[in-house]
Amino acid sequence: MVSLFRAEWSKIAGNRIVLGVFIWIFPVTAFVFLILAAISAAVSEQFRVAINAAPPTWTNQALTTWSFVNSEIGRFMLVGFAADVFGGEYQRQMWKNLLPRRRRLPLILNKFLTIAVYALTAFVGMVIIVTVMSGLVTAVAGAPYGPAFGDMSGADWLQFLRAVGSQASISFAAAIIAACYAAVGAIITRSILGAIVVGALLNLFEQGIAVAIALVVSITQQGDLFRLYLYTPGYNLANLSSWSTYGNGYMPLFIERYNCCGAFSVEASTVLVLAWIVGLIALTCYLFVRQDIAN
Amino acid sequence: MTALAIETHSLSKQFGRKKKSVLAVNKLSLQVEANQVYGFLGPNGAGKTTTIRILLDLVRPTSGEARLFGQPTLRAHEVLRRVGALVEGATFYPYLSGRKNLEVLARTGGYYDKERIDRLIHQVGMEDRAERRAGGYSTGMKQRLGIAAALLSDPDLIILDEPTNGLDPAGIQEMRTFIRSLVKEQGKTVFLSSHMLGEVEQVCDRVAIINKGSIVREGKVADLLSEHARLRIDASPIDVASEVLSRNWRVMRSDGVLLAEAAREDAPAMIRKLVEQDVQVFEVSAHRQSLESFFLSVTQEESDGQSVSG
Repeated sequence: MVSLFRAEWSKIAGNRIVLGVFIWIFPVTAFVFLILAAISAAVSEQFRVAINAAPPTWTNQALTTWSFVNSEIGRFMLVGFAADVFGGEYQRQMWKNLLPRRRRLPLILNKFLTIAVYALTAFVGMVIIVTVMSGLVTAVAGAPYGPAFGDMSGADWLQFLRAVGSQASISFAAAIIAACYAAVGAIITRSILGAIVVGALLNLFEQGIAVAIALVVSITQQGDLFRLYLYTPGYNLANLSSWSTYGNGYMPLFIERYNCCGAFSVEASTVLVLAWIVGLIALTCYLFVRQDIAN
Repeated sequence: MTALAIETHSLSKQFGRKKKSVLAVNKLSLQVEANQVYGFLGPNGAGKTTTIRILLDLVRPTSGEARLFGQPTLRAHEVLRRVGALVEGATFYPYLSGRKNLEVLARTGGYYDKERIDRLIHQVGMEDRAERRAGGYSTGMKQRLGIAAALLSDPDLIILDEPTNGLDPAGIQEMRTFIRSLVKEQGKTVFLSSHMLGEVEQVCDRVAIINKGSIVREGKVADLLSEHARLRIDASPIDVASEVLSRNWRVMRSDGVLLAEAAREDAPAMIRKLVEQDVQVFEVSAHRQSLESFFLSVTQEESDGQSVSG
C-alpha cells in the first residue's frame, strides 16, 4: 500500500499545473495576500488604524481560516483537483496500464487517500501561514497579536485545540465530499471535464436543494418536506459548525418558521456526514469495479 | 503436455443492449501453449483487442471464461502479476518523463526496482530520451517505452497489441529480434496481435485468425500456408494448358502463368498430361502463399459464407 501511495503521490506531484491551480493555491494565496497586507500596514496609516482598532488574535485566525476551505471556492478547487486525479486516468487512457498491475479497489481507494493527504497538507499549510503571517502584519501595524502563550491556561489550550480540531474536521469533511462528487462524475463520464461539471452540479444541487424544497413547501404547505433537507451533507456540516462555534444546532430561518423539525444533535450529524462520505466512496468503488475499460 | 499460458472457453462479449448491441467476441475458444510466439490476427473490428482486454480483466465477458496459466482472470488478480501488456498503443502521463512513468507503473504494481528500470530503458534503446517528458515522444518512442512498461514485472506472458506501430524499419527488425529472444533466451510466452502480416509470419510459431469475433483458422504458420498449396505453371499455349489441367485441378490465370491448387506431389502427373497434349512446359514450381494472401482469403471466405447464409 505504501508503494501504491508513493506511485499516486509522485504521479500527482508531476502534474504541476493541476497541483498548483487546485491545491497549492490555498497556501500560496494566503502567503501573497498577507504579504500585501503587511506592505499595506507598512505604507497605509489608515490600514494600521483599522488593525489597531480590532487586532486579530492568532487563535481566531487559526480557527477562521478553516472556513475558507468549506467555502464555495474551496469546494470547487477540490472538485477540480479530484476531477483530474480520477478523470485524468480515463482521458490519458492510463487505466489499461494500471489495472493489470493492481486490484481495482486499492487503486481507487488510494486515490481518495492521496487526495485527502494533499488537501490536508495544503489546508494545514494555509492555516499555519495565515496564523504566523498575521502576526507579521499586526507587528508592522504596531498592534498586539495575542493571546500570549503564558496567558493561556490548560483549559484554554484544550478548548482552542478542540475548536480547531472540530473546525478542521468539518472543513475537511466538506472538501472530501466535494471530491467524492467529482470522483463519481469522473467514473460516470470518463473525462476530466465531465467530472468537473458533475461535481460542480452536485455541489450546487446540494446548496440549492433547500431553496427547491422551500418552493415546493410554499405551494403544498407541507412543512414536513423540509425534513429531507436535514439529511443533506450541506445541512449537517453547517449544523456541526454551529454546534462547534455557538454551542447550539443550526436551523435556517425559512425552515424554523414552519416549526416542522428541530436541529440534529452533534452525534446525529456526525453519523450522517460520515455516512455520506462512506456512501459516496462506496458508490465510486462499486461503479468502478463493475466498469469495462474498453478504450 | 505443455502448459497453457492462455485458454478461453466460449468467450463472448456484447457491448450495448438490444438493437444497438455489438457482439465483439463470439464464443471464442483459444488455447495458447507456453514458450512460443503466438500471433493473433484479424481485420479491424474483428474482436482482437476486446479479447485481449478480457484476458487482462479490463473488460468483463458476457459469457464464457478466460484463463491465464490455468487460473481465471475475472477479478482474480494474482495471475495478472505474471502478465505484461501493451494494449492498443502505448499511453503515458505526458507531464512525466519516460523514466518517471516507468517508476510510477512499477510502484503501482509493487515491484519497483531501479536497476531493472535502467536495464529495460537500455534494452529498448531509450537511454538518451528517458529523462524527457513523455508528452513530447514520437509514436515509435512511446511504443519502445510501452514495451519496457510491459516487461517491468518480469512477466511470464507478454501480450503485445500492435507493438511495431510507429516504428521505422530498423526498429521493426529490432523488435522482431527482441520478441524472439524473449521466448528463446528467457522462456517467455508472447501473444502478439498485429496487422503486419509479414512480421507475424516471420516471428510467430502459431497463429489464430479471428473474424467477426470468432476464430476462423488456427495452427502452425507453415501448416496453414500449405493448406492452400499451389503450383505455378509456365506453359504454352496457355489456353490449352488451362483446359487440360482444369479437368483435374482448380486452375486460375495470373500474370501470363497458371496457378493450380495442387500439392508438390502432383507436379509429375501434371507435366505428363500437358506433354501428352503437346503443350510446351517451361517451368513448374511451388507457389508459396504469403500469410497476407492466406489471411485475406480466409477472412474473405468467411465474409462470403456469412453473406450467402445471411
